[in-house]
Amino acid sequence: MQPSNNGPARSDSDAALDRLPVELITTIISLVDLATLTSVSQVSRRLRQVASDPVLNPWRAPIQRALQSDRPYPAELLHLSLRACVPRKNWLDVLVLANPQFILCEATLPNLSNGEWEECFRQRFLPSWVKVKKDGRWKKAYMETMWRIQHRLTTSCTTNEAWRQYLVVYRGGVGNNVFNLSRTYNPATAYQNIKSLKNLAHLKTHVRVLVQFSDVRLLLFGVRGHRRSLFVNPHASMLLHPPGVHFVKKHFSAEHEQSASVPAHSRGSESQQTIVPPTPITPIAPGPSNLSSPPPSPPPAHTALNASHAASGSGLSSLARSISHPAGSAGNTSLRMFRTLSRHTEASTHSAPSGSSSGAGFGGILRRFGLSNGASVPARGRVPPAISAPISNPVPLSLPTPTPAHVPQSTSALVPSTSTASTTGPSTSASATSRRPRANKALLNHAPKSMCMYPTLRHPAPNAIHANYPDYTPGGYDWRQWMDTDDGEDDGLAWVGPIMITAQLIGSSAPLPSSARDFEDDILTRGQELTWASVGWDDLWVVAPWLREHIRVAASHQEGDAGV
Amino acid sequence: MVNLVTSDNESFTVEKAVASRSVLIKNMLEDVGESDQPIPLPNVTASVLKKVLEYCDHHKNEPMPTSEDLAAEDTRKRTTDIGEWDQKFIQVDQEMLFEIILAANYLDIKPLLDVGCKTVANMIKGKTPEEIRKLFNIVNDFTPEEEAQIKKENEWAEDR
Repeated sequence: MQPSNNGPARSDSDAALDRLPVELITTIISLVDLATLTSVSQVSRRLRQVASDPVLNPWRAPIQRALQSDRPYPAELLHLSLRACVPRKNWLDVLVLANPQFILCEATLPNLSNGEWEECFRQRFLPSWVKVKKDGRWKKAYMETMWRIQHRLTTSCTTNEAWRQYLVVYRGGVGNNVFNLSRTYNPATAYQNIKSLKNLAHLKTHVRVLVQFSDVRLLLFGVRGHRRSLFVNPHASMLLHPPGVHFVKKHFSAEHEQSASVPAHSRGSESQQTIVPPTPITPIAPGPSNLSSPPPSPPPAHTALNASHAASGSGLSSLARSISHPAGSAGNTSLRMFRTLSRHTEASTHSAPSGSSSGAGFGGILRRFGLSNGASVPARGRVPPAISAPISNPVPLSLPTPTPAHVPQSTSALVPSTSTASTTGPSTSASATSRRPRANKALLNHAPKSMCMYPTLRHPAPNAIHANYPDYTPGGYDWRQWMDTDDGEDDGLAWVGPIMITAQLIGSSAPLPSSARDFEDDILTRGQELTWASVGWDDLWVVAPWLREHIRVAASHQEGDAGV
Repeated sequence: MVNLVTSDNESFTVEKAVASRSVLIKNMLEDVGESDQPIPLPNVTASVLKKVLEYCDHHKNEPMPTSEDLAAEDTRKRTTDIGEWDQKFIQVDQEMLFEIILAANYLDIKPLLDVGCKTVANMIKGKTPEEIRKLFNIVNDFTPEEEAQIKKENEWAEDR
């Protein structure tokens, strides 16, 4: 067919771009770069109106593209705050994503409210870094933290933090926070000492990236041994693979094709992953009454999901419906996250430790000793701080920060309905279907990945490579899953002995590691040269709230007496 | 086969697979079921529909983008790259280009809408306000005060 030119006649003065609906104009102008968008905003009143509209906000996409690009930031970004047509909320993205050098030395910062600075702080930094804030102004806390990061990244000075804190989690569920002199801190050496204490020095140290934020990434150090070993540490697997969250082959396969850095053998392992259909999550009305603890009850029957888990070798099944992130009292029985159906009838009284295959090993060990965990163990650990708002949907700037006394909306949206929770005993698939909770459509629509077990972490906001955290993120850099299969978890390997969690400071513009193995080697060989930061339990509870009731935090230690 | 009737009362009979590239028509067909009734498209002229159907015919065997794909695309970096065939297809005069965009929006054909929007974005890229006005025949309707304000803003925001 040939292009047709016989459309409705139109005079030369007609401006078609100007006449399009505003959403189409927005779509078009959000595809251009910042310089062009600035030009578009100066063409006519209508186009300026569209460009200035905070709801349509065509600036967001170009700004994010500029910030996430490997290239230097465009000159237009430097003084964007001086342009009246740029909605101010775009500065949230800039202040969360841009590198410290740009924010501290180059950009003209806008006049934001205290609440907006707080939001920037919480989205950018680890929760425990809030200790920097002393006088009540969030801008000062934000800028001071940025200066510290910049200082630490560019010098070897440790004045601001003489002692570095890291976390050690033992297989029995005891957690220690250990302090090490910052000047000599090398996590590889520190973990080597831990290994020696536990008679595991002969095993190779493995390093995994748990999650990466703008300035810091959390790393897990551990060793792997036989899955049937009595030294299996179920908390490592649980930390890396949130219970109920499964690897979705579809999303990874397409992305990995494009990722040259992904080892071929790892790609091959994707096909071994089990695809589990998404479990609908039932929202309930927020409010304290929903948090009040219902009597502990056996989990609902869930034949379909149970079957799929049985196939995958995991002891977990209906976890998703019983998930709630820690927001209220740690001892609240309604916050039991891991009550689940198991393949065995008696296992219904046990909690499933993990969404990965090692969970079977954990349950096996517990059964071996006639013990149960999770559901029958009182929740332990500290109450989350007011700042945590652990994992929540994006919070509008106007919303107050949730406090422990108030459940964040996103959290309440994940609490199973009472009818579901009260379902007892096994049932047929028909009855299970009838009790299937209605999906939270809004939540599911915002999760392109078909697994919607947890709301995406927003405070702090993960880097683009972990944008879906705690769910898996396509793109080839979420190494939590496929390094495990690569290492042969399915062949009987599991995390054994204590694990160590530490934080590495990174520049926002730091190049991504080329592959998981290179990264691991780099960390193990250059540990002393890299920059490290402290990580505390408050940070871990926010990043991995599902671990909270499984870990009993012991007293602090200095290096050398970390063994428990 | 599906019978489509345009705003200028021209009738097009096309394969169901071709018509179903439009989410609007696909939903209509699903709602109505098997029927010989023509589907009226009051917002699309014959010349534009012909062009749209050409696009749909060429892409009829491609998988429909799912909501997950669209959301994933939104979250990732959107580029203005256009496929080779699509580039040739969209080489039309400006008037037809905007008509295609409006029709794709009305008929809910996301890939065609993307091609249209990316084409316009590519036309705008790197141009000054005056050049954009000239390109699309847009009248500068700013008041002198607004013009002065913009000028001042540009001076402030200029990187020195």
